[in-house]
Amino acid sequence: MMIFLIEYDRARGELIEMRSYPDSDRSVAQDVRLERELTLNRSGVSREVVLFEAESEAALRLTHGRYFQTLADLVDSSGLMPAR
Amino acid sequence: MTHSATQLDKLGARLISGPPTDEDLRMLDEFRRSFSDASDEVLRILKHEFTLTPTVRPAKSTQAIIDKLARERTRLTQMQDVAGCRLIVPTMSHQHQLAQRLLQRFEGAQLHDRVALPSHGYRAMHVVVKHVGHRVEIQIRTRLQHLWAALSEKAADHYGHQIKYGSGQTQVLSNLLRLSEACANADVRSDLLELFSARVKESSSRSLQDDYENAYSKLLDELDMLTVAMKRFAAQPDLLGTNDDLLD
Repeated sequence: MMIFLIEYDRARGELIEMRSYPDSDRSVAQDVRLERELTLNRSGVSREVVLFEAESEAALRLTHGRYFQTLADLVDSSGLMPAR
Repeated sequence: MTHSATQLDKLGARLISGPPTDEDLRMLDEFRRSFSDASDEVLRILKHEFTLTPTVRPAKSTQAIIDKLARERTRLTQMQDVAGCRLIVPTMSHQHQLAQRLLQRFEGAQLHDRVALPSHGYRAMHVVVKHVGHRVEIQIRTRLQHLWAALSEKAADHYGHQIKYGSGQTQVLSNLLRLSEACANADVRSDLLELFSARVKESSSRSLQDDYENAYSKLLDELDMLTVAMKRFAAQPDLLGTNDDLLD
């Protein structure tokens, strides 16, 4: 599994930054998440700063597409063809 | 340092009453990290016993925690979905079977069946399991339920997160509800088609094969229509008009 730190601007619907860490660096990722949140909070900036663990970036993009895609992209990439 | 439930619930109350202090955020972070063991254990079981690899969110973001505390007037220590993971499955049959297996595997697990009882259009099955006193929510969604939920989340970023809970821009709400119904109908049809497919494979009947082909093509048409409707929604979530505008 890999760890992903996401900073997301809800109001603009935009991913500001994504960093990835190996599973072994979880506490580093947690520390970075907290420091980022503290910095943003002190500046009065409202952002979502959250950690995920996923097998790959592709897996994360599939399960949490909202952070990466526009509304139109979410529909376009859905591929709703049923299994035959 | 471990905080008491009372201290944590007081923290929850402070978080909804105004901007958090550094100390509040550090305390919340400690609380968040306390879910790591439970989250790891659930992931281990899902991987090794169920051969599933979910995406894990070891703990909700501060913003999401504050929103939920304010919305539900719940206590921080009572929140069931601080830690969670998400699985996407092809059909409702898979979803149902997996939920049942999880309920059997995790003693005391609770099922929140939001397929039977949707929440403002949101459909999914959530199984909440407990490990050493910490709850972890396992979300199971079909691909259509997931797509709808992603559209709803993204629209909520723009129109306000209250639209996920039944208030706010009424046309966006109404369009989301109609898309949710259409997704649910297509999910039911996909499920039936899967059952039909199993029967067709066991049979040599030509007419059964033809019926299956017809059903398959009807489902494709339905999904095409749904995709068009979703594209219209994506282009203009607050699209005004009659029922015909979005789905016909």
